This record gives sequence, C-alpha cells and structure tokens, in this order.
Amino acid sequence: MEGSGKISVSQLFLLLFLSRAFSLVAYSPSFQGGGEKITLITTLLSGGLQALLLVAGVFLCRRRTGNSPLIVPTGGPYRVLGGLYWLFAMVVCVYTAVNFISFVTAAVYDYRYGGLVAVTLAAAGALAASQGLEGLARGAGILTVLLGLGCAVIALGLWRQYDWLNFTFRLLSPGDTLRGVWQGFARNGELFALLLLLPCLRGRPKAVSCAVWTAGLALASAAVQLMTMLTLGAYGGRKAFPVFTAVTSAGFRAFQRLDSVFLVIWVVLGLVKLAVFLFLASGLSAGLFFRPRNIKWIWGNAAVVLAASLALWRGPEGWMEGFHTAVSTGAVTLLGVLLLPLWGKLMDGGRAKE
Amino acid sequence: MGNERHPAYKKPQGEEADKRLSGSLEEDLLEIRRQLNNSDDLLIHRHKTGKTEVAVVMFDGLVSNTQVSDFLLRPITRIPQDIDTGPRVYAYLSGGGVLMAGEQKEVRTFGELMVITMSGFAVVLVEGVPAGLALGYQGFKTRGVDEPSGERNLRGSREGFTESINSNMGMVRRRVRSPLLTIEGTTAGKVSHTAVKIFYLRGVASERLVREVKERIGKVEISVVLDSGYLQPFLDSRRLSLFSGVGVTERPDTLCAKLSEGRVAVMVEGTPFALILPYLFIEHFQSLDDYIHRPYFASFIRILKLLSFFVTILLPGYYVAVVSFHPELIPQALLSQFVGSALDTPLPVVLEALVVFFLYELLREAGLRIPSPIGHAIGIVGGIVIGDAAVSAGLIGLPMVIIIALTAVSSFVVPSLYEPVTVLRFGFIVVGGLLGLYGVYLAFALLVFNLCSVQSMGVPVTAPISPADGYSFRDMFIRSGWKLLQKEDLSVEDLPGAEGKEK
Repeated sequence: MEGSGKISVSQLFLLLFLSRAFSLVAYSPSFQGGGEKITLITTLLSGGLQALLLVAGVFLCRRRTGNSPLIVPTGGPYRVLGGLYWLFAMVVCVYTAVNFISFVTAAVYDYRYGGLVAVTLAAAGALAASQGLEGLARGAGILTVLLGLGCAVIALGLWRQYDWLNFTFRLLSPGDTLRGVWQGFARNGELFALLLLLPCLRGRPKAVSCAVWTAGLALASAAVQLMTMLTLGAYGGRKAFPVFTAVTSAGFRAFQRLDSVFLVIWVVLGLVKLAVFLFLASGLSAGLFFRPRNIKWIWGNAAVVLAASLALWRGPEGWMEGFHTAVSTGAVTLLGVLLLPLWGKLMDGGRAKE
Repeated sequence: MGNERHPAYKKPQGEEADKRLSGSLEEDLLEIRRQLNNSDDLLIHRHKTGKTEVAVVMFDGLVSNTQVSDFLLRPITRIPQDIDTGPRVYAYLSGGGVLMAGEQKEVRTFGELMVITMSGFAVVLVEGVPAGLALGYQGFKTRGVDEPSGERNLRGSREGFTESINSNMGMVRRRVRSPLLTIEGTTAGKVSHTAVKIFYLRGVASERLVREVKERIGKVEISVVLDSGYLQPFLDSRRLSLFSGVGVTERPDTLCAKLSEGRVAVMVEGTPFALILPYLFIEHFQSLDDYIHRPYFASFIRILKLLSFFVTILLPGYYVAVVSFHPELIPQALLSQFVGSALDTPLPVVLEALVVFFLYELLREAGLRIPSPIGHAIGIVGGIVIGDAAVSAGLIGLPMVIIIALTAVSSFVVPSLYEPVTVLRFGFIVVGGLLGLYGVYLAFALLVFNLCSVQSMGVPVTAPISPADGYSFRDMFIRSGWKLLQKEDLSVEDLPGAEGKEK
C-alpha cells in the first residue's frame, strides 16, 4: 500500500526532461561556434544522433530484468558493469553539483557561501532521492507547471530585449559540425539514466516516443540558445552563465528584475538532476553488494558527491578543466548508452548458451 | 514485559485471559466482582423466582433507570412460578415478548460481559445457565447534535457528528438510505475496548481497501483509545511527512459524499471526528459549500484557498530572504520602507520574524484553551496593545506586522492544513534567513517531492494533479456544473498512480 515504485513512461520522460533542462540552462550554449562548437544547427543535429543512439540502447535492453536492465545480480562481469554505471552516475552528480555551486557563488552569493551551498545541496539531493522515484516523478509533474510559468515570465520579460541583429546562423566546417553534434550527445547523461530506469516503468517506451523526447530536448536547447543569442549577441559567448546574464537584463512590470525567477528555475532543475542521479547511484552501489537500496546508500553516495564536488570546486583549476574535458569527450555517455548495453547483451547470450 | 531501560514504561497489556461463564450464579457474580475489584458503580440486582435465582448486572450511570425498572426488573419479578429451572427461565426471558429492549445479545464469556455492560447494557444471568442475556438500556447523557465548529458552511446541513457513535451511524444512514451502506464494528484499545465503526459502500469501495483498513486497526496495540486521532497514524502513509493521507470530518454530509467516491470512513466512540481514507491533498481546498454555490464562485473560492496556502507558508520566508540577502530584488517603490524598517529595528529580520511569529502562536494557543470572553481579551491585548506598542517602541517594523497579519489570516482559510502550515512557515523563515532565496526555493522543491511521495492507502495524495488526470480537472481547481458532474461519480482508487489502477 506504499507504492509499487513504478512510474509511467510519460512521467519518466518528464522527469528526465527536467533533469536535462538543467544542463541546457547551466552549460554555456556557445552559439558563436567558438570553443565548444555548439550552434543551433549542431544542437538540432545532435538531437537526431541522440535519438538514434537512445533507440539502439533501448533495443539492446529489451527483455532485461533485475534492479537495472543492464545489470543482472549474479556477480562477475555484471558487477563490473554495475560499478561502471555507478561511476557514471556519480560523475553526473559531481558535475551537476560543481556547476550548481559555481553559479550560486558567482551570481547570487559570494565565494564564502560555497561550502554551505554544497552541504545544503547534497543534503537536499539525498532527501529528494530518498522520497523514491514515484515521489520524484510526481514532484516533477507539479514543478514543471511552476517552471513553465517562470519560463513564460522570463520570455515575456526578455521580449523587449530581443534584437534580431544579433541573430547569426553560422555554418561550421564539417569537422567542427561533427564535433558540435558529438558534444551535445556527450553531455546528455539522461540517455543512460533512461536505460537504467527502464525496469521502474509501467510499460515500455516506444522508439517513436524516445525520438520525440530527444527532439523535444533539442528544440528546448535551441530555444534557450536563440533567446540568449537575441538578447546578448556576441557578448553572451564570453559569459560563464549567458542565460542568467540575459535574464538579469530583463524586467517585467512590477517585478522589475527577474533574477529571482531564474534562481527558482536553476535551483529546482539542479535539485531534480542531482536527485535522479543520486537515486540511480545509490541503487547501483547497493546492487554491487547485492543489497537493496535504502536511505543509508543514498546518504553515503551524497557524502561522496559532496566531498568530490568540494574538492573539484576548491581544488586547482586544472582539476575542474580536466573533469570538464573528460566529460566532454562523450566516453561516459557512449559507454553508458551503447557499449555497455551491448556488452551486457553479449554476456546474456553467453549465459543463455551455458 | 517492561522496558528494562525505562521501568516507568511498560508494553500495553490487556486483561487476563477471557473466562467462560460457569453457570453457577454465585461463582459468576463473585468472579465479576473480583475482576472489577468490587467497583462502586457496579450494580447487581438479585431476584429469586421459584427455585431459580436471577441476577441483573449493570453499571450505574450507563443505563436508564426508568427503562431498567419498567422493562427489565418488573417482568423478572413476574416470572410464573411454574417455570422452575434455570434453562427454562432463561428461555422464557430470551424468548421474546417478555423483556423489551432495543438491542438484545447473548454473552458467554466474562470479557464479553464486561465490554457490553460498560456500553450501557444490562446483563441478565440465570442460575444454571452458562450464558447471559444482554439488553440495551443505554441511558447515559450525550451532547446534542450541533453545528460542527470546525467546518461551518454557509448553506447546507447544520448537523455535525456527536460523541455517540450510535447517533452518528443514524446520521449517516439517514443520508444514504441504501443497503449498500455497510457499517462494520470492531474495537480498539487493549484496555478501553473502544467501539470502532468502519463505514463503506459495498461494491463502491474496493475489498482491498476495506481489508487493509481493518487489518491496520487490528494491529493497534494502544491501551486506551480515546479519539480517532489515536488510530490516524496507523492508517496514514508510512512515509515521513508533514502532510497526512487521512482526512478528518465532523460533517455527516461530507462523509457520505466521500463514501460515494469509494472511500472508507472510520469512526470511534467518544469523538465526533470521522477519519476518511484515502484522502487527497486537493480535498483540503474543497468544501461542501462548493457544490451548493454556483460553479464560478466555487471555483473562485478554491483558487483563493490555494493561493492563501502558498502565501501563508512562503510569504514570511520570502520576505526575510529578500530583505536579508537580495534587497536588489525589491521594487524601488518599496525599497526604502522594507530596508529602512529592517535597519531601524534592533533584531535581524530573521529573528524579528521568528520572535513575532512565536508571539503570535503563543497568543493564539492561549486564546484557544481558555473561556471565550477571556480569549477575546487576550486577542485584543496581544494583537492591538502588544503589537502597536512593539511597533511604536521600534522593536518590530511595520512591514513585518503586515506580513504577519496577512499570513495569519491566510492560514485560517484552510483550517485542516493549519498544523503543517505553521511548522512550514517557521521552517521557511529559518531557511530564508540562513540561505536566502536559494534556501527558500530548495526547501519548496523538497516540500513538493515529499508531498508527492505520500500515499494514502495506495493512492498518491497529489492525484489527480500529479500523476495528472485531465478528466478529473473538472472538479479540482475549478468546479464544473452539476449537469456535467452528475454523469459520472469519481472512483478514487481508479485515479492514475493508484495501486488499484495498476492491477
């Protein structure tokens, strides 16, 4: 009578959409075609690539059971698989936490509050994750409405700031375009999160719905980039948090400033992302020891995330850059979405023959 | 059996093992006196008819003396002399037509005899018969049916439940004159054996739900159950939350409306508050008046209640956060007032808010527990004298007084949520003062997740908002007209996300 722990396919898509939306708001969409090769075109093309790889991943995970479709609790190589996925989930958690702390200490509070922000964020993430997947998914449904209202207010507030002279539709060289497309994929940890959460679903996602979901993400990403581009122009490319910079220039009648609206979007999205991946990480880490997920695993993983994110944030700049580069290679996402499921499938085949 | 670390605390214990009546009147009466330690309110009337002796066992103050005298004792004195053996006397008395009583039952054990006599029955014991005839002559005084103080309506019935469970059953039965209305009885409390009634509409409420409610009540091991609130935690969600998945009402019409949606209600003897399961969060913002008023006005009131809920929990914390951490967000027209007030008072804004809200809760609590005339005086002294003096003395700022007044009024718009709202308000003030808007938003998101994780008997309390069910929106934030609502009844266990739905 306390819930089956299962959610619907649409709930999962919505939850992971919010989780992914944090990345859209947080990471600088460098539409200038500069360092990160992300343009409107590469964003849209990347949506197509993500859809293809996600459908392939879902296909490879068919008929898998257990705590996760990718991990069968029998030990041996499956434990290695689980360990790798745990590592990936932790990487996303730490990356989220570091970005979160960096923004809050840069834009809202001063540097001294970093430790307090890190501790409260990790604790809030653990508390949210301990509400279970059903609680997270239902909460995401309600928060989506609030965030939608917030986005509408921001869009209206920015309306007067839009300048179509800032619009550029820059074409990159084929090599740079490919790199840009790949980067869009590399930063989408929600793709492998979706595969890991397949057993928590009532029903199976269809290939079409996976494609629609990734298309929605690509369009949302393009919309954020367009909004920033029209508001800030080339200036936005030099800012660490261009979306926030754009919002600070906006005003909406009595509100005058919309920083607070942006902050609510940032905080909610950051918390959703951290909670989802902490939930995954705790389940995976517990699975490594053949134990069920419980609150101790969640808090234990949150403590690791806190320590790692503080070390990265306070440590030498090279650490953060190295971490950022490692994530940008796309190895984590590629392994998580395609290669590890393929390995799991091969192991299943071997087991069936035995 | 006791707790070794705390000898003052012991596990709740029931009475000694139940013994059967022996049939020997002398022995049985001795056993009754022994078990009751010869209690002063125990009344035993003995009468000899022919060769057989008859005894009537009852409690002073629980039976109607007139009824017992007219319908029980007088017929016993007139038992024909030719009926000379115990079994024949018992058969004569229980045969009907001799003893007049609204309710008649047979008891065979001392435990049954105790419980039934303490419920206002008189038990007739006959020499040579190992059973007793219990007759209902309840004569204790109960409060009359009155308007429920906590759920007043502008229109509709003025009847509220009373402390008498029999009277309450009648009020429900009068409103739902259908054989589908089922009332099952049980007891709770190892020592008190408090009567508990479970109400549901057969075929409308699922068997799974009824079974679960009965099982959970059966597991209660409290010694003395004095109110339905004692059972509430056992019927509630197991997840730690400020919000409950159990509804409470003292209105029979509300209870009947809930039963028609497939819910189960639980009533406990001695309290006018019925428990309703499952109970959705959105129902806190709905009332019977909504269905009596015109739809546009009912919808307006519902939205007003929802807004007042958010105002009451968020406004003080938001104010504290903005003034303490983000003065740049205050519109220019208000900047000097807000920040000036914060600078002119000796305490930091967060402490100022906490102190004033603490004082407000103190005055409210004091006014609640004392006689009404003094309560009004406390309200005047607290609200006007202390409040005005504190502002004049510069202890608190005027904006803070406005915030408190607005929040206090808003908190009474949805009285059923007063408890969580009060605690949350304090919580948001603290996080707003320590972490600013970041803390307020973080806490709000956590609150949403926590609320969404609460299940009431397998139904998410946030349904049908999330998981969303578009069709149910016709009677959620807005209330559609009866011409539309009459077409289908809601079945709460079939809402999306409910366990009943999944199977």
